[in-house]
Order: sequence, then C-alpha cells, then structure tokens
Amino acid sequence: MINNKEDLIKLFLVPILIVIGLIVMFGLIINPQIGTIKTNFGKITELQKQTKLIRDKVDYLSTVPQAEIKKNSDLLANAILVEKDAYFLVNVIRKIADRYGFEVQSFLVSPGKMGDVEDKSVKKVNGVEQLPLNVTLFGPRDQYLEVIKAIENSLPIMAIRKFEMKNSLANSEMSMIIAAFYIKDDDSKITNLTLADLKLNESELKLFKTIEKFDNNGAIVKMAMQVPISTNSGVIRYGRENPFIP
Amino acid sequence: MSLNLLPSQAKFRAFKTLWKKRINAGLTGVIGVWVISAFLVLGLNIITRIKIKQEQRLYDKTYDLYKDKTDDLITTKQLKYQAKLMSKVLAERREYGLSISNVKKMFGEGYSVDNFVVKNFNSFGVIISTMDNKKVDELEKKLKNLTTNNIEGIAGAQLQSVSMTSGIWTFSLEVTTK
Repeated sequence: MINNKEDLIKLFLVPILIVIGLIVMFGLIINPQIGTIKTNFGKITELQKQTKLIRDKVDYLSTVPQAEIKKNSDLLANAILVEKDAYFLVNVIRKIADRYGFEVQSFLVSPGKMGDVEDKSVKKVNGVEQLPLNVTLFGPRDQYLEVIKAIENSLPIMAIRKFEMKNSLANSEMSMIIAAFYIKDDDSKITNLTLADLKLNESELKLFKTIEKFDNNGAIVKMAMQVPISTNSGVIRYGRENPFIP
Repeated sequence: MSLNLLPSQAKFRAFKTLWKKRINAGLTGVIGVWVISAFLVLGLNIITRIKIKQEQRLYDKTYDLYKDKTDDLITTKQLKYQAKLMSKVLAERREYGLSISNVKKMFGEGYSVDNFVVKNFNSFGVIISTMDNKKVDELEKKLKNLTTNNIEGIAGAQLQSVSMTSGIWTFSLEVTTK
C-alpha cells in the first residue's frame, strides 16, 4: 500500500512540478518579452507616423514652386504693415488722395489704441493688430467714391471703420478712420509643424488672387525702403520721412 | 493471501500505465506549446527590433531631407501664417466703396447719391436727392430692388426720412452691408 501511494505521488507530482516550472518560466521569460514586443510595435507605429508627417511636408515643399512662394511672400509683405508705422500709412493715403485731386487736411495717429474707434461688431482676428488713422481729406466732390475705392483696393490692406462726409457744391470733406494691419510674430516651433501649418487652403489662395489686383503702392514702398532701418527682430522698417513732402 | 493481492496489483499497474501515458501526452503537448510560443515570442522580438532599426533609418533619411529644406520651410510657414490671418481680416472687411457704387448704379440717372456716413460696421447711411417728382414714385421700387436683387455688398436698405425743400426731394437711407 505504501509503495502504491509513493508511486501515485511520483506519478502526479513530477508533471505538476514541471507545469509549475513552465508557468514560472513563462512569467519570468516570455511574459516580459511580450511586453517588449508590444512596446516595439508602438515604437514602429510612432516612427512610421513621424516619418509620414515629415515625408508629407518634404513632398509638399518639393511640389510647391519656391518662386511662387517668394512672389506671394513679397506680395503679402506689401499687404501688412511691418510695424506700427503710421507715417508710412499716412504716406499711402496721401498718395491715393493726390491721385484724385484730394489733399490731406489733418491726421491723427494713436498706434495700438483703437479706443472709441473699436466697433464691437468687428470680429477681432487673433494675432492681428490694427493701426488706426484718423484722417480728413478734402477734394473734388465727383471723385470721392474713387478715393474710397482706391483706399479699399490698395496695399497695405486697409479697412474703413468710420466715415463722414460734408459736401459743398463742388467739394467734399471726408473724415475717416482707417485701420491698417500688422501681424504679431509667429512663435510656433518648426519641429511641431504639421502639413496643415504649411498648406494654403482655398480662402488663403483666394487672398493672393485678391491682393494681386490691389494697387501695391510699390513706388511708396520702394521709396521708403531706400532708407532701411534694421530692427532688433531683423526686419526692415520703413523710413519715417515727412509724409507731406511731395 | 498473495493470490487475492495479485489482481489489485495488476489493476494498480494498469491504472498507473494509463495515467503515465496520459500525463506524458499532456506534458508533451504543454511543453510543445511552451517551446513554440517561446520561439514565436523570441522571433517576434527579433523581427520587431530589426523593423525598428529599419524605420529609424528611414526616419533619419527623411529628416535629413527635411533639414535641407529649412529655408523653404520657414518661408512657407511664415507665408501660411500671415495668409491665414490676412484672409480672415479680408473676409471680415466691408467694402463700402463697392456697396456705394452699387447703390449709385441702382438709382441711376436723375438721382444724386452722396453724403454717406459709416457709423456701424454693418451699415452705412446715404442721402439721395432728386428734383424729379416722377423719380420719387420710383423710390419704393428701387428700395425693394436693393433688398431683393442680391446686389454685391448689399444686404438691404431702409428709408429713414424724407424731406422736400425748394423742390428738392431728399431721402435718407440706411443700407445694410454684407
């Protein structure tokens, strides 16, 4: 009987010990490897994702003609004020007024302060600052509409915020508050850029087509650029010459 | 006595042999599965490590290409950033010149359209005058046209006041822009 008992214990104990051994080895050797494999798959997916992100950007940069980018960049540089350069803005207004026989009677600039000019119904675009210019123009009555159209279709991009006119028989006096725009520096990091941060969408492409038709006041910009002043940020600031000198 | 024990001994032996077989078969299966899964896991581990190296090489190569295009990237990024903001500015802007021009076109000959005032972003006031009495009758129709004809830059128009001095009819309108 004792022999039988011992035999039975031997018969079952050894396989049980082997199975326990296998389970322990599974836990100690194979299970961590499964964890490593999972991590490896995660790394592979992440690398593929990152490579695709970069590849998309490289492909996009390769397909877009850099000459076009440069052209649009120059166009946009004329559409936005580099800084709060109110004198440059007055100069542009004066040139436009001159063209239609108007003269600048007075102007008032308060850079960065829209104050009571600010209309709550005008949606503010984040990152864009407005430079308001309060100006009074005097000239032939039959040309006032042309002046308004010219202001609205000239670069830098301007928007009429307030307007009032007094007409005499042949002349008009127009008091306006005109806003031009300048953009705060973009501080987003290049490493975090996605394709969406580079690719122009439909409304942005439309912008270039629109401002291409604008009078870019190239001569004024050119004139102003003849006296370049370097700023800390490395941009060229327009020279502040007297806007009333013809 | 020994004669009685023999069958039970034989029974036990038969039981033992049967279970030994079963256990051996079971153990072979379990060990087989264990070994196969160990090989699979180790194999997969090696394969994924190789794949990581390949992907890393591909990433580095692509990143080098990307680095070579840094200047283009900065210009494009800057352009996109400015274009995004300025297209919003342009979309928000009202072109009063266009709207006034269209009001003028709508009224046409016989009316004098001027003295306009922009007080709010969405509308402007305009004074229209005429000396022709027949034109006064047309005014209502013209106003309706301004509202219903889907004219560029104009959402609608409303008559604010009417006056007549020395034969000159003067109408004050508020034109809503779009």
